[in-house]
Amino acid sequence: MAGPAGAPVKRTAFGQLGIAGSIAAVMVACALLAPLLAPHDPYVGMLADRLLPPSWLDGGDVRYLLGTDILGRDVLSRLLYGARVSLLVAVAAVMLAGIVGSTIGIVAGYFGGWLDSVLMRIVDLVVSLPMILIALLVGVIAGPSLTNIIIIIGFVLWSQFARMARAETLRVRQLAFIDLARSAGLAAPRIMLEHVLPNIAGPLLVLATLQVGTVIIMEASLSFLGVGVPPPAPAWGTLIADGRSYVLSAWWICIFPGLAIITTVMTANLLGDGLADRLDPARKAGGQS
Amino acid sequence: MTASPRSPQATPVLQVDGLSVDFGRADDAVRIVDEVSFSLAAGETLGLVGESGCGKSTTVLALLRLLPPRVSARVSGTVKLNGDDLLRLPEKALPAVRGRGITMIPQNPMTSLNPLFTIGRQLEECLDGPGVSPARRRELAIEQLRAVGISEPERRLNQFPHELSGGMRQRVVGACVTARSPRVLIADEPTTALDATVQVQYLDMLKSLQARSGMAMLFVTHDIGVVARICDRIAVMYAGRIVESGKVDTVLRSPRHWYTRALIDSLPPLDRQLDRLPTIAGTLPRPGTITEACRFAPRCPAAHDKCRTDIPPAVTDTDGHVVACWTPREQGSGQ
Amino acid sequence: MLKYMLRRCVEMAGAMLVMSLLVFMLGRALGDPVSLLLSDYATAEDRALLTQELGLDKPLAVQYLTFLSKALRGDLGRSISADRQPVVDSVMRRLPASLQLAAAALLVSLLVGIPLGILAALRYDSWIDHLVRGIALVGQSVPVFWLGIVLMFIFSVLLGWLPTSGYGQLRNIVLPAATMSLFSIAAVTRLTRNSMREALDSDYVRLARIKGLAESRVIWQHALSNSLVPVLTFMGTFFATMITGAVVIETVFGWPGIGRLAFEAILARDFPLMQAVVLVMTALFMSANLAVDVLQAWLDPRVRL
Repeated sequence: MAGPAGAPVKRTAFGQLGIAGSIAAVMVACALLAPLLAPHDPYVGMLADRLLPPSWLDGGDVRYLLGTDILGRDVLSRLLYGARVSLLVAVAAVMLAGIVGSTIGIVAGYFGGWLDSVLMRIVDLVVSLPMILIALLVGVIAGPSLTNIIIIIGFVLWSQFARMARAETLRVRQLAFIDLARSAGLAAPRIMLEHVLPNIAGPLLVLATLQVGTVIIMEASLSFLGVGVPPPAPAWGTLIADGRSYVLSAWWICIFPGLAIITTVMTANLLGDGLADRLDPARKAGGQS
Repeated sequence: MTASPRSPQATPVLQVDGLSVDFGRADDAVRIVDEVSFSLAAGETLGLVGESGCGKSTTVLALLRLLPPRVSARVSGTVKLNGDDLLRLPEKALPAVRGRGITMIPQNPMTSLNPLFTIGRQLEECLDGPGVSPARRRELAIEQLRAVGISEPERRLNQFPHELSGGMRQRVVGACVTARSPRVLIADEPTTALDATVQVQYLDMLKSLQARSGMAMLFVTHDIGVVARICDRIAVMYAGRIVESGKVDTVLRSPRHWYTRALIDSLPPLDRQLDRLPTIAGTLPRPGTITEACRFAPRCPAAHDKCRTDIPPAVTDTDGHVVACWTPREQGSGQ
Repeated sequence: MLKYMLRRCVEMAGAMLVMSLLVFMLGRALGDPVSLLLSDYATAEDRALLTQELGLDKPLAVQYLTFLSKALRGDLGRSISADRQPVVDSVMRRLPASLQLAAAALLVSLLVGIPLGILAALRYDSWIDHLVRGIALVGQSVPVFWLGIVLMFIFSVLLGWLPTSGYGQLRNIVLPAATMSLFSIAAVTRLTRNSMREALDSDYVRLARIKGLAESRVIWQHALSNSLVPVLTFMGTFFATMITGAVVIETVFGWPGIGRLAFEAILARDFPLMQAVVLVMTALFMSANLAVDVLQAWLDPRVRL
């Protein structure tokens, strides 16, 4: 019945996607061009200029737009370089989790049977364990490092990709062209890579985008606790931890990195939602049939 | 526009006049149901027939004031139930009318019962009222389940919807909506989700419910075969308008509207196998595209210029057979 | 129902076992166990004693079983700090404070999130709905430790209404609990709103109306009960974020719970202490999830299969 349900619905997905996409592009550009954009060296401070407030406040200095920290380092420059660290960790960890998780999920979904049962039991188990504690423990044992944090976060997140990739593969596997490919004698890895993956890439991309936000908060939390990205790298979480003791006298040191995190995470979430709307399976199915 | 015949001997329980439903905001509103009129007498069954998307479901949802608010529908006309205009009742008065006066069996037996509550709870809440003790309610519920042909009713009361088959769930829905002995029952394609044998049993159950309580029934379907089986009168709907109505025997034996003829032709004959069913060429016009013409004209074999410029008026003959067509088929020219 | 609970308990025990194995293997694989378990000031005697105690010459499986049997008896070793406290004692001493905070945060997020979500669903597309959705979007993007610092700055430093830290009085718990619940308020609100909308549009709510039930009954019984199912499911995620939340928030507000204990362990690189915190937190997390599962099975008969 194309009754009341068929009434037109407002669509704002494109606008949302466009706006979020533009903000994301600007952010990535800032991170990439940090050496060109940053007015000062993020690692070296002028002790004479320590704890200067943002330039528009009393006592502010035009050279330091967002003020300086306890060692006289420029907050803006550290933020820009921090974007590199945070985005690098986010993208690398999500890619790691996405590749590992999707591979496991596709294999489980494509072959089914006992392999599927075993893999999914493992995924269920991993999901039921509080993996963030493992991250903290590794931080204690092995000490913080950029590689460690990427691997740890990747390890925390892969199971979600595996679940989604499996569910989507099960959906795609029933479609005719997979049978066609199989009867044409294509090898299983090739079918998975060339026929399954492109057809399930949309939802995985949405998940990955949404995960970027999660990872940025996770990395910031770990860095804040001292088991994330090690100093002197100006990860946003580290910046907040540094500024924490001075929040009374120099709020700008920890407020701005927080705003940067919020903006980034919100952008990632809006981007993910917008993508999800665009790739809406109902509309996609309607287009194909 | 079109008027359906009244059974001359009875005063109608339900009288629908000029019911129209428009979707969307005022400037780009689309008319889904256009000036639909019909009446129902106690104990009578009217079949409302048409293709999917012709506005049948919207019509019945509008009758019950159940159109979801998000579609921002505007409903006009009058729907008189024992003299009260349902469309002008305040929101607060609706619950009292819905269970007792007019009720409905919706399409989806699988999802129409609340998955979290037992059958007993969902049935007993319909029987709630002052002076009804819990024990009495239980008795009534069991009685009601028996009336819709459910075995072991005592046990069913403690079961959850997911523990019942589709056919049984649809019977429970029937039991719930008829618990307060309504005067009018609308059945909106109640059997489409069920398999054939269960369908037949379900229709028989509905007929026996009706025979017991004397309620009027509006049976909405796309299946003319079902109409022939259980209805007294038929109203054929096309693209939001009723194009032909009358006694089932008369209309099915000698349809006067070209659309009704086509619908009957697309029925699978019982006596021989066909490779392909004849279908009606073309598709339903998109709502809002044809306003000042006969909406069936683009698909009609007999269409001429007038059909494309003027809305055909409804004409009633002596037998109460109504047709809205500029050049109706000759009477008695059926098979 | 009983069978279902039994199965869930067995699953939980299995998961606990895996976690203990994971913790054990990480300690062995990533570092020298003797130095991990002893402070830098330990004597050669201590080292020799521990080596023997751990049976480091024996196969890994035997070592794990030793570790496990001790752990089951509540012995997870001693802290490497100067006082050499048994780590389980430290954790247990700190546990009540963490449980108080978590309970307060849970209560607040449900008591605020569910009504807000219902309100937004009933006033669909109104300004309340938009406001609630906006708050939910922002609330899920704010890092909790930063929020804690900001709230502390505003309410303690600028306004002087609430203490920056401390423990024992009602006013002490307000800021940490508010900080901890913000994320889940946002999530619970969004979930309740969406599931309530879905329920209000559902066939069974329509049938409830057709049956002639009063609107209050339709909303508060039929729609609400169904919209709480996804909220319950979300609780698992909530407990997971609460673990991270506990560590950072307790650190920010100087709350004497196991979260801050974890932070202290991280600072001191105190592996035995961290190991105990991880295992106890895991056990808590899983028990909480078990409780949610039981609650869900009670609410939704379809789960009890």
